[in-house]
Amino acid sequence: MAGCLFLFCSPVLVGLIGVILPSVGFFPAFGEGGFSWAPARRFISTPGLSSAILLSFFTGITATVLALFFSFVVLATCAENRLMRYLRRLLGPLISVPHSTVAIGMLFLLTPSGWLMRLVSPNLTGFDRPPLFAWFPDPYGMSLILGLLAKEIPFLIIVGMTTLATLPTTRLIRAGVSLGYGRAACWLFLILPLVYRHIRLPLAAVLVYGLSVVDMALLLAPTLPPPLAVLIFQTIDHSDLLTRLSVSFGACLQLAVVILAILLWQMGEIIISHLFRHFRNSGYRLLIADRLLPILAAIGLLPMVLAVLGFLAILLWSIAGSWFFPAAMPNSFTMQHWVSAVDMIPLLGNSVLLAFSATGLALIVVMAVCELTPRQFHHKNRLSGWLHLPLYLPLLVPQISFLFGLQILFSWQRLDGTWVALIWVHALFILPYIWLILRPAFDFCDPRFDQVAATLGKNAYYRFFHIKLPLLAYPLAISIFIGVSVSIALYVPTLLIGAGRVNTVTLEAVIRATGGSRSQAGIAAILQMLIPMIVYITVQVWLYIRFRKFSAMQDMMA
Amino acid sequence: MRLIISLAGLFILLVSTTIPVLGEDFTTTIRAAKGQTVYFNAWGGDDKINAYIAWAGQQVKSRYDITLKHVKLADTATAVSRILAEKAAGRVNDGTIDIIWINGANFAVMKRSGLLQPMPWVETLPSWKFTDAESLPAIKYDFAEPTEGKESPWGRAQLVFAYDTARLLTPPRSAQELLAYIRANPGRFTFPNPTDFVGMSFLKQILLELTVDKTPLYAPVDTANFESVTAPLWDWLDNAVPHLWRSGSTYPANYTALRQLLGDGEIDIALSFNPADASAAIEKGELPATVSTYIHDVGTLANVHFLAIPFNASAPQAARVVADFMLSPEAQIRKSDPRIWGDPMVLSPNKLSTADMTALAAVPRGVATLSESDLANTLAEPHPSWVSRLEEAWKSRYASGF
Repeated sequence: MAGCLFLFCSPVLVGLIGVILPSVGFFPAFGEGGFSWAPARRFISTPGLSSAILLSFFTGITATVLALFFSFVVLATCAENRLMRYLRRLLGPLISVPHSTVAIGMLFLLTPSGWLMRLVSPNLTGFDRPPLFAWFPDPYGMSLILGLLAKEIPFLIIVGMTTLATLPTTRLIRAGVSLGYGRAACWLFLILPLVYRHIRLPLAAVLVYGLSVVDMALLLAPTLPPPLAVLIFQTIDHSDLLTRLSVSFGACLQLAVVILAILLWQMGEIIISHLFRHFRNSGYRLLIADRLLPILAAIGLLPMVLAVLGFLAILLWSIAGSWFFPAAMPNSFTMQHWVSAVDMIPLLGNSVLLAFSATGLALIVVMAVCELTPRQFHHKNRLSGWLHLPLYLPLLVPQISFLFGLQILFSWQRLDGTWVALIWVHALFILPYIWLILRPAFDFCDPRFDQVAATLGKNAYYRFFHIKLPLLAYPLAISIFIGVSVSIALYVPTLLIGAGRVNTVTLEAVIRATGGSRSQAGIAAILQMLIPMIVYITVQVWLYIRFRKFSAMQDMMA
Repeated sequence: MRLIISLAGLFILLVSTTIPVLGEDFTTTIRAAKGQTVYFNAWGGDDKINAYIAWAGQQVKSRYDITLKHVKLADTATAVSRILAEKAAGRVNDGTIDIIWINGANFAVMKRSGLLQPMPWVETLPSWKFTDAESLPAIKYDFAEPTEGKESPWGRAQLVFAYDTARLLTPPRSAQELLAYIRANPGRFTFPNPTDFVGMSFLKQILLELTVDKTPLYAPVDTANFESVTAPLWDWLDNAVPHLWRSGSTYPANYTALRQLLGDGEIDIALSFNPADASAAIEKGELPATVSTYIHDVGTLANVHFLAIPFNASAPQAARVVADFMLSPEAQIRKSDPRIWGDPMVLSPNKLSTADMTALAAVPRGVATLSESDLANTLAEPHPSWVSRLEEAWKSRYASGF
């Protein structure tokens, strides 16, 4: 069964081989058959490469550290009170919004000529023209970090919540408080280490993503030079063969950057855990931190607030007639942009078709594996955890690295631009998420229901479709929602494997946002956001209607 | 018998290249094109252009039953590199690109690498008779590179500057004046990233203006002393960059992003390769009505852009029909309307029918567009080989970080 999963994820390995070989000059398809350092030398001579690599490290690691810090702060502040329930309701939809939409919204909001500046000018600032100071996007990568945080903090909060549900949080805190520790100290010393242990994998995925993001970086990162992934992405466009070989070397370099960052992270873990132990044994009560927590949590929620305001700015620009600085609101409103957006309908169709096909494929694979393998509680069994590593590969290997190799191979086999290839590649990225949701759900699904049905003479087919699936309705519905969200957001895979033949609203949103038409970019971004939202609402409504009479299902839906 | 005929046809072809491809006349081409799908690879960063291509798609659908799919590129080089990869992989007749919007350096690369249809086809198009290579020789020479009938002219372009008359009374009309303006108004001027076509064109414009002896620029770059020829440009940039928008730490991705900066009031002067672009933007409410255009006194870069068919197009007949439609008076006149696109036509007005002339006369010029006589001052494009060298040199000087 692991073999089946392995087979499904083989494109990652094949894609990696497809960049490693050319990067040392071996490329039979182009008649390059000998070992050579030329591609490597050529890529290393790219102007600004060292700055690009440093920028990648800086933005990727900083964004991950901050996302971890703030998500834990928010968890510690809200986990035991009402806020959490509201937060979960809000964050659920927010993690479904594609990175590129968030980036576009922040651009509309925060640039010197953005909505925020228009709201406060000229009255408060005295500016009748946008100020010259470049704070967004800035030359240091801070804007990219902010954009990443708006996506990663909610993600880590949700992952953390899921873990918290399995921990005796309240008891641990009570024990700590009774010893005179502050709540912050209890969280810091008792609970967070436990949570951290469980979220290392999603955290690694966040780190890898931050180090190799393309779409968000195209919009928010500095450009001279851009981060390494964007540098590679832009060099792919060059048209001579030697450059293609040297881009392969760049893709390998990106992989090396990610591996190095993960090693650095692990070293950081060791250092921090030593400090931590020392600190914990010192007996600090950290009562002062209790007062700091809410303030920090508010700061931690700020990127999401900005993202949501950004969505408002997008909406505003999509119905704005002419709107010149420093007017706080458009001079006129028009539906013309929406009327002319009918040509996006095919793109929307492509996006939806792709998202649902890929999600369906991933669901079938995961359910088949879950159903046909014995129940396992993998936290008891480290080895099985390693068995699942191939499954997480697409999230742990930088997209640009293996997809470029895959593109070369697919083009060679006439597969690029075909729906089959695209659906497969999309399913590849959806699979790990669905696995993470469904595997525990299948494992914890009470087998006694099944046994009762069996004793009543129902066959396996009936039991699966009429007993098990309804029992798993909630995780299945969430899987569909997450699968669609992941697929809609994919930028690099769609562009490289779609070969320009299959266009989606996401590709459109990014190209329009770099092309300086706010209204059109806004509409594409809204459509991008709309698909997962509609799925989310549909899922929630359907679950409510279908299961409102089932008391045991209520907690799940809360 | 048919074999003999086609062999004879081939022989004739080898002898003369002005005869229609494989002896087939255009009605045969139209018949063969019926039901085919054409993947039209064109830069997709401008809504007006995209809408125009969509209109053309509707027309060829209803007239010829051809499905036109616009593959929107962020950079035309992407498509060129794809065709190159397909050639390397031995895809000789089922390529993913049927027709590509191209000119200059990309055309030179395609021609050199054998990525174009091997046979000349342009002069077999029925619409070719409306063109006049005498009065507009550029339709046969793309950046001085002979097109050899392997790319069909689509439109004309000239670099024009746009400025807001409400903010700026007398715009700078030469490279030197522009530099003085930049230094006096820090942060209020920029140009697209030179990795972009228009950004590179701006560099070429400045270089042409500052170079005393232009002859080396019209020969292959390898034959020139690159350093000494380009020294004035780097000197100009060294003086300008610290005072550019965002202190030259970043550049807009393309001219539409630049146009937006002008509309937002972040910069004072924008540039575009389309003389009617500002008028169209005013029409759409993207630029204030006070915007106007001008060119430098010595003239500005002008060129023609083309449609080419790759060697391995999967629907070459339909691609030719599309190219012919794009060259037809109806499509060309519509294209020149600033409310539609505002891209000047490549046809000769005095070769048009009376009805078409009337239609052409009815096309508004656009409030901010210069007259033909104001635009008469043009500079020819340097040899295409200069582009990549200039880009490399620019990157190593201004884009390598610390």
